[in-house]
Amino acid sequence: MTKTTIPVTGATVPFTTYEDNGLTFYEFNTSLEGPPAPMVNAMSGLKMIDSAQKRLVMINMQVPKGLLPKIEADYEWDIEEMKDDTVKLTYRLKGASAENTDFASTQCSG
Amino acid sequence: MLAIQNAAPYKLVLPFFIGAVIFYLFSFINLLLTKDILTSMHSLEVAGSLHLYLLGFVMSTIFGAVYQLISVVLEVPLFSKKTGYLHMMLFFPSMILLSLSMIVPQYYALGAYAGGILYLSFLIYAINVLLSFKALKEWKLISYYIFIAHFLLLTGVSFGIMMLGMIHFGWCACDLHTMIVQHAQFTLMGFVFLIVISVGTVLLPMFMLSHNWKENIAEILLAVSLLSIVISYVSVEAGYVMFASALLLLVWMFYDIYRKRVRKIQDVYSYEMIASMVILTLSALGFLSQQTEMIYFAMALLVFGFLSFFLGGHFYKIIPFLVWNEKFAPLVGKEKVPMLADMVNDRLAYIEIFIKVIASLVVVSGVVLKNELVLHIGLGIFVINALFLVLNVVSIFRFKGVAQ
Repeated sequence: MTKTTIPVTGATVPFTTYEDNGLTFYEFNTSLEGPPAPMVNAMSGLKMIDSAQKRLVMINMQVPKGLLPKIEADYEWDIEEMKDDTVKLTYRLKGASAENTDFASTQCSG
Repeated sequence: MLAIQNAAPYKLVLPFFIGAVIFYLFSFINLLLTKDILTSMHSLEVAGSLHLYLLGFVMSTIFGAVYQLISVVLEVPLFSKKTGYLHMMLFFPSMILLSLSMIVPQYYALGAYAGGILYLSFLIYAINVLLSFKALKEWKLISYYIFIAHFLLLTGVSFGIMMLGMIHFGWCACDLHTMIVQHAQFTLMGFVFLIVISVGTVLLPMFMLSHNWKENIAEILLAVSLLSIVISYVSVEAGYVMFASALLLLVWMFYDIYRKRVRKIQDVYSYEMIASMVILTLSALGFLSQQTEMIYFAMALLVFGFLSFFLGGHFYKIIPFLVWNEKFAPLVGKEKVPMLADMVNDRLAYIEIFIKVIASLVVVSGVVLKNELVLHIGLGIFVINALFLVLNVVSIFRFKGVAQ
């Protein structure tokens, strides 16, 4: 599994991409970043998840409680607690597209 | 429910922070112009100056922080946002007039009316916050902190209005000194202290990226803080010891959060918090000494030292955060947006902190040496410090965004 760094519009941390089990993963790590970086990068990354074969992986210090209700209409996610006290969230589309998510709603609640 | 949907509007939160920065400057200018502070510490003029600082700077910051954080920490909306605006409109003019009525003898008669309106603004604020608890689904430690703190505030300001009634209208023949102590105890050692702890338990780990700190310290701290108020009715000396214990517990909590931060770098915020911890420790030692002069020293350290570092440090996080949400959040995903640290002029901030350290040392020296000149030099340095803070806040508002 080779990870390749890719440019993502609006991102403030590096994004990588890799293939696994026929799925395309995009990954970023904001575990060392304070607000609003986790929300900014998640919203930038989620725009790339436009099919059932794509996943967004977010490594963060904690579950981004302010973000999840904003995207729950279109996305679902798995949460995995890592050994280093970070959390890994893997987002995927629920349906065919993210038509209900307001990507302009980017205010951060902390 | 979504925290952001519940969040108090920018127009309600921001004026309290702007007001706090402006009154931080004005209260030090006013203190600098106040003569014979050390020999007339119980005078109405010094009390007025203290009120300008405590209401204008400290309370304004706390109001802004509570309005901003209530949706995040309690996960409920503010009961009434319109009532929040009413509170703001009553608070600022009445606070200025009450302080002026004490500082300028010609305005003395205004004090009773200004105090009445200010009391009303506190009632409106506290009841609005307390009513927000109706929507609370789960009581957490921070919920108890905020709930109890607002009852202490209502008690403290009630002592304040009773004093005004006594002075201006002869309401009762109570002992003024006892009432001053109770007014200060409930508002400062009660409300302000509990809010500082509760806000600290949320903001410090968030801004320092700290994991697994000992949250049970905050549980013990709540009990010890409340006990210090209760015990002081039985024995003032025991109350001081208990309050010093609370200060040291707070230092322990801050230190635990600090040492468990994930990213071990120092920035403006961490330096302000380190200074806060040092000042809290010195202040605790002052209370433990049980000597009257050292108690004054400890109180001065807490009020002018600790609060200026702790609240001032948060200005460099909260004000950029508010401006960011308004100015840069709409650009997320469309272009590269700045992060909070990009919006603060680090050079100005470090100069501001350095000047504040010098100012604090000189003011404390003036109090310990009972030297009016040294005290006023320290206050003059505080004015310069406040000017740098104003400059940096202006630069945050003027920030147009650059690539990181």
